[in-house]
Order: sequence, then structure tokens, then C-alpha cells
Amino acid sequence: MNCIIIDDEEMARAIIAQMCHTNPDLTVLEEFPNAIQAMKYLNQNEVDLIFLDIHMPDFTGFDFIQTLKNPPRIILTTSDPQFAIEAFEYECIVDYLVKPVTQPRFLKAIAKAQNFVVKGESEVTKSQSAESGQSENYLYVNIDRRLIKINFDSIYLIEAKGDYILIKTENKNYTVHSTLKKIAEKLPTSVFLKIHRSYIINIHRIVDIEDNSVLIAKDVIPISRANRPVLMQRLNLL
Amino acid sequence: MNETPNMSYIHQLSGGEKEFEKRLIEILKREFPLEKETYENNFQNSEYELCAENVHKLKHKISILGLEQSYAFAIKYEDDLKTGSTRLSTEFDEILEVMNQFIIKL
Repeated sequence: MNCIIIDDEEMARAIIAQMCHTNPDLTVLEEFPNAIQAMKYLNQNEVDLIFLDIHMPDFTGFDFIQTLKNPPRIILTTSDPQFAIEAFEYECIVDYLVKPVTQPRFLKAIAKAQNFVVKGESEVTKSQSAESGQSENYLYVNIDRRLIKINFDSIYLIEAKGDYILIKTENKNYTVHSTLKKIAEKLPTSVFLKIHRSYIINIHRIVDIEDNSVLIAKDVIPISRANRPVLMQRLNLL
Repeated sequence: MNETPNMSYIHQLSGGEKEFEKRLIEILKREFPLEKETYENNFQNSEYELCAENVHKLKHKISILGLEQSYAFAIKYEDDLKTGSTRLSTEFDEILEVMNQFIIKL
């Protein structure tokens, strides 16, 4: 996810930026000391996520949100827990981080953001998924000019390999010229989960999980620290 | 307030990354005196609503330096200032001075 940070306090921006840098799924595009500069930037650039301080002089975080026509996901950051109720009146607000932000709480917010669908986006996703065959149980991949059908439930692992992805199924492996991001858009999110910047797994095919790795079929796959909370949430844990 | 500032949060956050710690300390040394001065000026001018905003901002640095009791105190003081009451100002000045002395020595 591409993100920007808006906070009039440099210290607060530095802390959030540091937390983002340790997370491979997050790229900080810009930092802004006030909402006005951020608004100018957003007129010309798209972002997936905004870390937004509520309490800023002249223009508060809530004032800023109201200026956005199609707000992206927003995580509020504040020293003041009393705004929490007001925060959840906005559908784009994913979470509410009280300063000083801790790493575990930050990761939890990121996991929420990754699973969060902003209103309006869900309709696009639905139509895209219908067009892309996501309502079906398969996809087609182009290998040597042949379109090969692969059933979703046969896939247990997808690995990024430079400009290619390796799709591993029960019977065969397929090397396809594509990216994890592209295939992720075609896969049912209820079954597949990105657990590392190089791996998407079928969560129904997990054999076991140990510390920071998962055994899936015969492959041991690392789980990135940022994605571990999402994975744990998805497990049917006793 | 019987507590001493510490670097636990910053150490925890940096995960031992010295460059990042150095950067945060630089920001602290630059930003804290400005926030403190702004608060003091507003206080001298009896701009208590502005003071409340300054205290709100300073609360983050109070918590970053691990001053838990002082943080709770600052919350009360911020609320007081919003109503125009300055009864806690002397103790809050002491907190700022403790922080100032700690930051100077970093």
C-alpha cells in the first residue's frame, strides 16, 4: 500500500514513517506538516492509505477528510482518545491510533487497512471480480500462447520470481509472466492470503504454523511480521 | 512528579537502529524547545485555549520520554486550560524543566 503521513509534529511523522519502513507492504510516498499541502498532493496523486493527525492548527484532520471526494483508507493518529466516537462516523476511517503508537498496535491497524474496503470500492471489486471470473472457481493463465485453466482449489502457493510468478498446484507448477499483485486481484480473498512480499498462500492448505513460517504442502514459507496478525485472524483457532 | 525521563520507548521503536535513534533525538532537541517556548509565550499572554493546544502537542513528547504520571497530569492540565484555569501551571512547568534538562544532555 502506498501511503502518506500528515502530522504537524515532525517527531510523530518520523515515528510513523519508521514503522512503515519496517513493513514491506507499505511505501511512504510523502510526509506533510499540514493538511493543505497534502490536499494539493492528493489532487495529482493517488494513495491507498493516509496516516492523519486529528489535532492540527488551522485545519483539523476531520476538516481535511471532508474535503476529499473519494477518500482512501485513513488511519487517525492522535494524543486524544476522546475523538474515537466521531472518528467512526466516517466510513473511510479504518482505525484510530493513540500516541505514542506502539509497533503491535500499528501492525494491527495495518492488518485492518489491508482487509478494509472503502464504500464504493466494494462495487468496483464486485464487478471486476465478476468480469475476471472470480465468481467462478478458476482462472486462465497464458503460457507459451496457450491459455491454461487452473482451478483455485488446486493452487496451494504462489511465489514471486522477478518478472514471473510460480503457481504451485497439487499436480503441476506453472511459471507465468505476471506479478503477485495482478494475480491477487483474480483470487478469492476468502481463500488466498499474502503472507510475505513474495508469497500468496491458500489458507485452506496450511499444514502447520511455527513461529514465523508456515508449512504448506512440502514448502516452508516465511511469514512477514506485518502479515502475521492478519493470518492469525483468519485461522479457525481453537 | 517523582519520575525520570527515559529512552525506553525510543529504544523499543528503533530496534537497535542507532541512526534512527540519532534522528529522533535530533528532532526532540529541535522541536521540544520550540513547543515549550510557544506554550510559555501563550501563557504569558493569557491565551489559555492556545496553551491547551500546546499542552496537547507536548503530551506526545511527555509520553515518548516515558513520563506516565506526567502524561496523566498533562491531560488534566489541558482540560483545565480549556476552561481558563491555570491552577496546575507550576507543576506543569516543572515537568517541562525536567524534560528540558534530560533532552539537553542527550
